[in-house]
Amino acid sequence: MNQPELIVALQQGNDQAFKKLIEVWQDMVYNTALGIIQNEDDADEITQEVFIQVYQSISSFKGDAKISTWLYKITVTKALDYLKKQRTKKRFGFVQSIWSGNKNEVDEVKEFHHPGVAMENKEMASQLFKAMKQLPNNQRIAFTLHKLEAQKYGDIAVIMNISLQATESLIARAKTNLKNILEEYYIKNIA
Amino acid sequence: MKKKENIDKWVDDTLHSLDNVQRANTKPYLVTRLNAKMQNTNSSIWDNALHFISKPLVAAICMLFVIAVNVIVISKNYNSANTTNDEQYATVDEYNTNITALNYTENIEP
Repeated sequence: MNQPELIVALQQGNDQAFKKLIEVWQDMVYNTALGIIQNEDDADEITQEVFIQVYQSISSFKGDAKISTWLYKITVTKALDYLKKQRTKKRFGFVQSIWSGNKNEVDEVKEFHHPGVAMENKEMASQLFKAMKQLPNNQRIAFTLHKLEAQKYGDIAVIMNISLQATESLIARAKTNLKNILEEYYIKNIA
Repeated sequence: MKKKENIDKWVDDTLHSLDNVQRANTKPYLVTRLNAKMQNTNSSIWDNALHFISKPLVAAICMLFVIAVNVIVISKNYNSANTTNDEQYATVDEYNTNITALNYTENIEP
């Protein structure tokens, strides 16, 4: 079944077509969410939400873009919503900890070990993920799509709905920021 | 100098540590879990509505709205009551009589 046929079948409410869509793209959606969110349970939750939205809004999909691009867009939007909620939760937790006087209630940056990273790179990759968490959301998403999903700058521009120049600039700034964060970390902790 | 070189190398290696990353697998039975979630989503529209209404912020806004409506209604009634009294007094003044006297006449006549 090629893409136009799959879209038509999905728009007709064909359950087998929906199952096929999930089978083909579940890993892509999950890995994108995992790279941005850095939590396996939450990435699984986002993956489910993405496919529910696809099921509900397939009738509005015109087929002028690739399904993968459309899925990336939905995943990125959902991941961004999650990050915003998490930030609000963190702020609320911080205010609550000030009132209650309990500083332990504020979440510290947790270590994340991506299951697909080779054993010899685990520690360094974990440091990189930790540094990525400190990037502004748009830099974090652009860098994740580029590094983990191997997306080209042009595709990232389409997914994020920005120009090619803006994408290049975002990724360049992300790399510079990551370099600074990591340098600071190694000077403090190892050197 | 050597220290700086070491740090640069560590930073560089860290930035390239995700270069050959493999894709992680989703948790099993995604389709089954998804079907279950979609059924729950359909059946819980009323639950969501109730959950939304019972949020403290929404409840507080509703309460403020009810109080505001009450205040507006009471103040309007108060104003219209005052206007009615003024009109009554004006009529009494115009015909040089008073309501008590009229009532009194009505009461004593058979």
